[in-house]
Amino acid sequence: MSNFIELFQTVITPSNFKFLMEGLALSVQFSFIVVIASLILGTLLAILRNYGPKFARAFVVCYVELFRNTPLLLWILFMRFTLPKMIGITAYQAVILTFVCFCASNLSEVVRGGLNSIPKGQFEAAASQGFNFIQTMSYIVLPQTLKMIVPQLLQTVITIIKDSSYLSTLGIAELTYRGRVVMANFFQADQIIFIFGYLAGVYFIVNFTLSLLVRYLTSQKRADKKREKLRLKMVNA
Amino acid sequence: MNFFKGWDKVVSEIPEFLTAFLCVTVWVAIVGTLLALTIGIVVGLMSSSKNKFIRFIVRVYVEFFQNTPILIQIFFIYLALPAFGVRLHEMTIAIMIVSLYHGAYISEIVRSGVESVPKGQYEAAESQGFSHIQSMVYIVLPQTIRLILPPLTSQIVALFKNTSVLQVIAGGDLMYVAASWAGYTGITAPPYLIAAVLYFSICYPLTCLSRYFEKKNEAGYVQKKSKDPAILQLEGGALDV
Repeated sequence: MSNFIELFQTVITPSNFKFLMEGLALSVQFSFIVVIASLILGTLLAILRNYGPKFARAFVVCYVELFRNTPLLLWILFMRFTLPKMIGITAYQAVILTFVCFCASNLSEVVRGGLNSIPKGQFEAAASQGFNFIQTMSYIVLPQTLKMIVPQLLQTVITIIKDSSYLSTLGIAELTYRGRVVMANFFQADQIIFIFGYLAGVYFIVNFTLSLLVRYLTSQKRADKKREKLRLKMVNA
Repeated sequence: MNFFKGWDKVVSEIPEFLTAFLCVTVWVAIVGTLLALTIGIVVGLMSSSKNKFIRFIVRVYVEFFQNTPILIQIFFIYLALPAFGVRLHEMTIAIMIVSLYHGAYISEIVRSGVESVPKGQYEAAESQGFSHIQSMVYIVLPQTIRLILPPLTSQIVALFKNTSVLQVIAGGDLMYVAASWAGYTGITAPPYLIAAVLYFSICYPLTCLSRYFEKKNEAGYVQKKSKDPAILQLEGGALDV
């Protein structure tokens, strides 16, 4: 135990700690930017897929299938090395764009699930009240859908925080990259293993907390559903 | 435009890409899938065990691998094992990590499948003198296999995609060959697009297979309120990663 504390004190000095935590802040900030942007793009894609003209539906299907069936790392490298030269954005922006494109394909399916679960009667009711399509979507359908998919959004945040470690291979100073920078100062096996354990621990704490939250929200949703069922039963009886 | 430059040069490299793809990526994916399925089923069944200690160990394993990046795991094995004097081939490392990582996800799928079988069936099996393992093998698993086939197939797709982490430890897989060729020649777009086509050519049929299983289940005896696969994914909670 004293050995462990000694190891901690040599490896995770206050300055190293601060250095690493700034990396974590970058990872978390990155994943929230990505999840919000990809939620917007994903919602647009889902609406196009469900209610758009035929060619738009075909396009969205192709888009989703393309990103679902190829590795994220491939697109990160591809965008990182082609886009900055082509349209003059920074590497970091190119990576954000990749993640947004990639996550939007996942989220569009999630949002679509939410859209499809809204009863058709609500669309008809809205139409009968003179709502146009955009009004129906923004006042009636989307608020319900978004509320429904909060657990999936948090799950996506977890995935992005994990995948943001890929940024370290491009020299963007997030947690994994900074961990490897710190590691370069140490040579003993136990110190290197300790840093890895520390990095894994930090990721674990953040992601596990989020996944507990996801589980709590999902169980709440299930309980709500059960209560609703019971209520309907009593009303009908 | 970047996209149209260098295709003439990359064409002669396609055999090399294909070799890397078939000999490393596909190979790692096949062995990894078999191992991950084994781990997933064993661990998934263990998590419904009555022994509290076993359940605790299983939780730790699953939560650890689900909540830390696969990159950290592979770096750890790659950089830490040599310190103990153990040197493994990159492919071995990748197979280990990919199967442990996806084994954790598959075990959760198996667990949820096992839990979906009504408790009365266990009691019935027990009353007929079946042991825990017997009732799993003869009664529970045959029923759950149908239910868990679609998410299982999407896990295999995810596993296939995640073999690309070999790139970061210079494992000689398709991603590595494409990336290093792009870095070496400065021709960036074509090699990645070829790699994308190759990955897609394996993953897309698998995705279609997953969807086919889902459709078949809906038509079968499994009663579900909502027929839309997207809704089922919404209710299922976990996204495939």
